[in-house]
Amino acid sequence: MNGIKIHIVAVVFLFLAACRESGQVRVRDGYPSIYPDYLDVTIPMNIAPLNFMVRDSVEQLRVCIKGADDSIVVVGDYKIQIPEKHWKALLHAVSGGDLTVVVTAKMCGEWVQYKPFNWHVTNDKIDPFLSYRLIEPGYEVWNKLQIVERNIETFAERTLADNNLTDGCCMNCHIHGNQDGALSMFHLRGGKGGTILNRNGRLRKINTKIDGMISNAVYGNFHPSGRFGVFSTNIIIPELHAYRNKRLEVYDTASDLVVLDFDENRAILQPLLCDSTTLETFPVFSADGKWIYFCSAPAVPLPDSIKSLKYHICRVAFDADKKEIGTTVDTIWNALEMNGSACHLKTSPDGKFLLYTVADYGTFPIWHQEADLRLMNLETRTIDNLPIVNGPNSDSYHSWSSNSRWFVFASKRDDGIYGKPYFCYIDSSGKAHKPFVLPQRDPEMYDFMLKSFNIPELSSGPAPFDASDVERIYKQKEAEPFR
Amino acid sequence: MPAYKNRWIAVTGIGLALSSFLFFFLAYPYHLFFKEQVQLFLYTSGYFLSYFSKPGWLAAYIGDFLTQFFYLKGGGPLVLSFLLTLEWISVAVIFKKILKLSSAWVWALFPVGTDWVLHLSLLHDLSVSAGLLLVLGLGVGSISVKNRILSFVFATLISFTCYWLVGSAAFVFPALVIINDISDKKYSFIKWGLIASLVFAAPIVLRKYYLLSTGQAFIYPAVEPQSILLPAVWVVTLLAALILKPFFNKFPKLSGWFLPTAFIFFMGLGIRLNAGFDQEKILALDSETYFGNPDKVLDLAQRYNLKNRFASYFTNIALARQGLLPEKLLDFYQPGLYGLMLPVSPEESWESILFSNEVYFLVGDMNLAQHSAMLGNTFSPHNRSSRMIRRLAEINLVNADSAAARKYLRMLDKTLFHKKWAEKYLRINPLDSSVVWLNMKREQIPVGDTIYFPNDFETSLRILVGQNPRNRVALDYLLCFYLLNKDLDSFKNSFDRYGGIYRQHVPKVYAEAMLVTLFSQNAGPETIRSYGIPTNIQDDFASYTELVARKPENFSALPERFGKTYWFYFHFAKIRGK
Repeated sequence: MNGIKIHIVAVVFLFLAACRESGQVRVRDGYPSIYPDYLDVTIPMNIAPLNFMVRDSVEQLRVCIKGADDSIVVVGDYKIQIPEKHWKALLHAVSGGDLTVVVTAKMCGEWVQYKPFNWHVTNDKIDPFLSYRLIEPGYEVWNKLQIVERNIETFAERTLADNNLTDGCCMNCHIHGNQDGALSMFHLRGGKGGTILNRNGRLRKINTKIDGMISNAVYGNFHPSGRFGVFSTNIIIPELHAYRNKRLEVYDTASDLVVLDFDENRAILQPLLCDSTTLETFPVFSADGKWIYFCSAPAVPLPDSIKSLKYHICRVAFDADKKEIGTTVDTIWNALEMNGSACHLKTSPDGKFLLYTVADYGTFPIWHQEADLRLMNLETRTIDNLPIVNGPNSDSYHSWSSNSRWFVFASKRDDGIYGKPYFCYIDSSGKAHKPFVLPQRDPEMYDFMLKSFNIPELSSGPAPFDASDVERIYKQKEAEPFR
Repeated sequence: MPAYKNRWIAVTGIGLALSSFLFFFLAYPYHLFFKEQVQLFLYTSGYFLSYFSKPGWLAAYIGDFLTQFFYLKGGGPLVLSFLLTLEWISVAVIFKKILKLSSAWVWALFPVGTDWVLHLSLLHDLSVSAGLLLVLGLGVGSISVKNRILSFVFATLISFTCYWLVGSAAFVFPALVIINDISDKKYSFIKWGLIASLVFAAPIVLRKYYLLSTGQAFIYPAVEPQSILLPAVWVVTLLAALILKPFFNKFPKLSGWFLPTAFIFFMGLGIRLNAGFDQEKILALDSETYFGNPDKVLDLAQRYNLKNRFASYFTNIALARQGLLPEKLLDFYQPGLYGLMLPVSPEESWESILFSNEVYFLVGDMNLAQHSAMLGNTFSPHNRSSRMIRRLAEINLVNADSAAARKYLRMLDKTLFHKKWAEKYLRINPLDSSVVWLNMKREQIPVGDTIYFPNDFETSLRILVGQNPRNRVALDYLLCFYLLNKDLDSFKNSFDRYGGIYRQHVPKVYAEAMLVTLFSQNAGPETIRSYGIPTNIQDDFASYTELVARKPENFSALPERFGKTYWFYFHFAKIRGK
């Protein structure tokens, strides 16, 4: 059983001196090839231990994590697992400062010490719950799906929905409102499906398909009041690329916007946003709820003109008291001028920023290698291209933490196929820091996982339901109609 | 026990071991190999821990551990033969212990025979057999405790943990204990009620934790409901032996011939009902395709002579690999488009989806191949297929996507039997032009981009051939695609445009089809000559048309002489759907 390694983790809580090597150690001028890439990343003080492995051929590993006054020494074969209790104490002690990580490895019988690197620990906490959909990156079809909630302060995970309990139906587009665990929704497709709405723990199943709408609700977002949701309705077409690893293209042949009033079970439509000559999608409310931001593109012949399908970022007013959508659409990011196509808009809870993804064309960036995140300052309209954040593959599907200092996004930077949640810190000056992937108890887990972490969403509290509640409502309740 | 009886027991044991080995080795080897191909057993701690997320983790882990040996020639039959024999010994020992029956070793054949028959299905896993063996072990331990209180405590403890360890095989445990107690005349209704309710309540109570439907919870780790027959037949056999014990004690000679006869009948019926010998042939064609043995595929295809789209699919792949598709296409059964490609859609079986990448990889459409392989993996019974992971690694190496290729190769590197392959491929530098197969595949792949629907094989082939007319495999598939669809205009257009390589020698099927096209266009002798169609084919065509033109009563003579010509296909073949 050569693959099964039993980790002998010796933990010593010592003072700085503990990290000094006593024996013969050769110092190497270069960083270790660690996975995940945690070199010089900024982390919140409430994150789970950043366990990692070394990809070089090592026989033994000794890692010293040094704080201001104390340190942890962890020993492993080629991967380390940092004890949670000691890790938390170390983070609290160093809060606002740096942890220095010294990796010493035994290679070919010789101990080698790599160049140390730092973990910058900020006082700004990240929302402790992360929900994501686990799905095989199997293009346009699915088999086993789960929506999972992970406590990112620990490694605890629980399943919020599992399609094994709901006749194998598709479940998608889960979102939280106000980053609140008690306000969320996701769509269950199929005969007994509907949109599962969680408001303060009360689960409802609603039928979002109203006469005249082109489809059920698809991409959506909550109004800050929690009473309304804005959605796109889309006719979605998947096709394959011919060229090498470009894989899949997904586009809409029609798409409109609708606001749903969850109190009165009523749809609020604006003819301007249900126009067949224009495609509208990915709507979100502004932090104050007075605007709806969305992506919009003039319809072009598809699929022939797919490369000229470019989405602008627009906004339209919304009056929650009158339950009315405005009649004037402003373009705040012009796709033709910027030579790109915007999608996945997310406004920061403090109202300062708009985070979005830009691809060369189209509306489905997860297979677009060039798809990158952009951060727009909504006051100044300046745009940060986030060079330190974006990777060589698709970066998309982001979500803010409630304090607007962190966001999570799905990145395929490791292998181009399997998306993983990365966390990025935005400091008080609006500067983005190098992101890091969601830590796992076993750092090797990502290597052997055949699922993507899809649509990572942060929330300040846990969702008040689980998979059996979803099974019950799926099987026993009729979907509430909307008019 | 008399010596002759011991001899008979030994003969039965050896006979069971030998016959099961020979049966699976000679009649069912490809099924067993395929079972390994649709799992991926990793030697990592994370993989081991993943078994705890479902009931019966120990049975499932042992079953999957043993299944990996199905990769080896003779490995599957050997493992199965060993397990079935072990199962027979365990059952016989328990029956003997409980019922004090001298014919326990014959009775024990029934559950073992059931397992044998169940293993004829692709979806009956070794975990079910392992579960039964484990629960029998626990059962023996439990009934061996003679102290009444200790026995009660021990049985309760096992009932608590049984489902967790062995899954649905746990249902055997209360039956075993209760029948043992009845046989011993120890009536303890509280104990029976407690252990039965603990065991039967476990799936209902724990299914939410394990995220299983009620049906799944009662059969896990089995994939298909019929696997539950194994514990069920075990219990029924034990009950039957208990009930019939006085009868057979009274007429011992009757049991001597009745039980073996019943068993032979039982096995005959079971094999007849559950064996998929045609499926075995398809899996043989599939496996030999996978091993890269087109000669053997063609040899088998000829021997089997199956009228089946999967058989045509693998036969056509073998023909294309040998450059014989346009020569011998019609020597074999052709159902139309679906003998050339297998669509990936919800209506298709998981096996079909698993097979479907092969032709895309062959013609050089790496994106369609990747799509199919990814879905093949996703829809395989355990959502992890060693074969699909290998294919995904190859595809990404061809695409020079080394990060993605490494992802899959790292997984294979943690297996027992795919490790060597993975190590070899991990050493490949995707940019190294000395890797012959990589260069050959790269010459096939498109250099430009466009988008098309996943099952649009025609567009895929047109793109491949349009960008590289020297991609002969893709060209043959495209031309045969048109021919099998009787689309002669598209055939001629494509042949005229890309068929330059066939100017010197027009393959038989193309020549026959071209004659039909030219004939329908009233082409002159000059035009016909320009295609270089051999004169013997022109003469045959003249005879064929003369025969057809004369009278319909001559049609009966056509198949013998012209049954393998395109003319006959064009006039008489019905294109079949899926």
